[in-house]
Amino acid sequence: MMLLSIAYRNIWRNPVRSLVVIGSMVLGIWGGTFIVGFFSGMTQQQLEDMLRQEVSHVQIHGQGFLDQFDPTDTLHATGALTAALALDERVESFSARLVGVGLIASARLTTGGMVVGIDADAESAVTQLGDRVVEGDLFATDRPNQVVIGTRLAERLHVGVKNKIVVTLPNREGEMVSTALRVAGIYRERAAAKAGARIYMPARDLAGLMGVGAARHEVAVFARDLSVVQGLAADYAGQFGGDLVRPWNAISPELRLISESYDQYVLIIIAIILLALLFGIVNTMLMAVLERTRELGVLMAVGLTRVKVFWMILLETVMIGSIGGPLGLLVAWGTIEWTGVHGIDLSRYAESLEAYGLSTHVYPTLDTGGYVEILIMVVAASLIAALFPALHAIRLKPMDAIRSQ
Amino acid sequence: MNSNQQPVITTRGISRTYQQGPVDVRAVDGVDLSILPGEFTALVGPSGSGKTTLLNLIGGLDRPTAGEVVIDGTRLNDLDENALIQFRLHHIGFVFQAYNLIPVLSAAENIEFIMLLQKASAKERRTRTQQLLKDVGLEKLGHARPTQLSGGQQQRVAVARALASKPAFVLADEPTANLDSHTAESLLDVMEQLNRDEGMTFVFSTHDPRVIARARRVVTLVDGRIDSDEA
Ligand SMILES: Nc1ncnc2c1ncn2[C@@H]1O[C@H](COP(=O)(O)OP(=O)(O)O)[C@@H](O)[C@H]1O
Ligand SMILES: [Mg+2]
Repeated sequence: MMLLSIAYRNIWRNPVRSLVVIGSMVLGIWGGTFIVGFFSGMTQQQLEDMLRQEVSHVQIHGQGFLDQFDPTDTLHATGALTAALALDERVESFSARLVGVGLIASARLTTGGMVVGIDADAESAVTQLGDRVVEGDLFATDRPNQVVIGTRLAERLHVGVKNKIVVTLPNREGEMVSTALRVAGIYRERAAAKAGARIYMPARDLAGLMGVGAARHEVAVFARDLSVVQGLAADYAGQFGGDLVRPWNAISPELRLISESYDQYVLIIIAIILLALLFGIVNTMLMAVLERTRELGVLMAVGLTRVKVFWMILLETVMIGSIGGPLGLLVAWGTIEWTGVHGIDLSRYAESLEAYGLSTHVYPTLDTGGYVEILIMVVAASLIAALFPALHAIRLKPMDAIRSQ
Repeated sequence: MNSNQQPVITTRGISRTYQQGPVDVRAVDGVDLSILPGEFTALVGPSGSGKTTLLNLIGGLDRPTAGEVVIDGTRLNDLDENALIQFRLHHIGFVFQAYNLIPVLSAAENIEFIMLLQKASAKERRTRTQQLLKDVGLEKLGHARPTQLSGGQQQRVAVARALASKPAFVLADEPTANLDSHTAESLLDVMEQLNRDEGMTFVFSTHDPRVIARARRVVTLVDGRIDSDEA
């Protein structure tokens, strides 16, 4: 239809102005979408790190264990449970642990903390603990009485690799038992981790100390895919006596909070950008309409209905939007894909970032739904932006419009 | 002129009052006017005498504060805004003083546009556009944009555009005001020829004596009233 052609040609009547609007749309959408991708990548990574290093996908505890941390509240049937997990196709890795709450002391300081008994390989498969050991090693030797502690605790206790610490905790009879341990390694703690000190011993050493034999208190499970986690948790619940089986979302409300606050950030960013775009488009289109007052008057005088005038202005705006919008998204997509592979190195700000529990490399990412959402919002914004100038145009009286000079 | 023909334009006691602050300006004040088919009428008078206002009332671009306008048997007073637009599209051709044409459309497209609004077929549009361009002596300039045309050429395209809808008559408000005298003459030639050959009715306002001299009927307005009406 000719209206389409008129609208299109009108855009190029003042090419500089149109290009400025299209250019600022591209820049705005590019920047905005990229920031959304950046946030999305950062959040996803943060969630993944928290899942990987702390929460795991599913945790199983002996009945009542979490109430008192009573060493006797072991899993109902540790052997049967671990055998079932080992055969389960959905399970990527699992780590059966002993957990005690006790006192950790150096010559300098005594503090409370969790003493976790692990099998080094199983634990590393689930939480990558081995990869996070930055000094010493994770029980690479068979020496007795080894312990691996976190960087922050090492600092507070003022101990390094090969130094000794003393651990005191209740055994299954309820008596406090103490043992001196030598620091074999120090692991990097997620700085934002809420939990207090957490130290690791070989499970068999801790079992001896506590007197619990082959039984374990807790199993952390990592699934092959996040989508199977809820089903996995449901399957194990109730199968092993009164064991407590919880998927990640039941364990850590913090995780849900992170993804919710991510959604809020994204909404705020997009709202700011769209508002700026909206003003830009309203301004430009209003100028275009005001400049053409006479011409619009002539068009209405010779028989163009108000509805068609309205559509003409709307079409013009939407055309500008449909050049600028997809172009901006395309550039943003390219940038996100590239940086998503190569990563953005923020190690210069690493210290403060790590304090917030963030990784030093960010890999921006945005799924198709994210792009579609932004596209829809851009189209909606340019339609809303078009309304004002279009309504102004149809309120013109042809007679007055023609008289105006 | 055949006097038992029905007039294409009839105004009965039309007035148009503008509120200018506390004062009422009677731009048109009780005008009775009949225009028969095939007339070539000039509306003359000093600036501010109400020529534009009267043409706007006749053309359905403005509504009278009193009196009635009947075009081709239709009382314009009875039409609502949208009906009026449709009526203008099908019954009235307009030529304004300047800036008649849509700058982003070529001369031919400007003419075709009107027929498109009337939903004429592509074939009819094409042949009629060519014919009209030929009628106004611009058959070779159909592809030109208005900015590539002289003022006189633009006004000729405007006349062709006004005729495109096959209107009952053409209203032209000071069509020669922005043209030099030579170009004004040749625009009048074109209009006169269309009037003579096709019987197209023209009503045009002017205060140019040479243009007035070409009219076959001259209606003089003073202060919004008809002062004289000479054939
Ligand atoms: N929109 C308007 N508002 C107020 N007064 C107007 C308006 N249009 C025209 N007038 C007044 O009406 C009178 C007639 O104007 P107009 O019809 O333009 O005369 P002409 O075309 O003969 O110069 C003038 O006094 C003019 O000031
Ligand atoms: Mg005038």
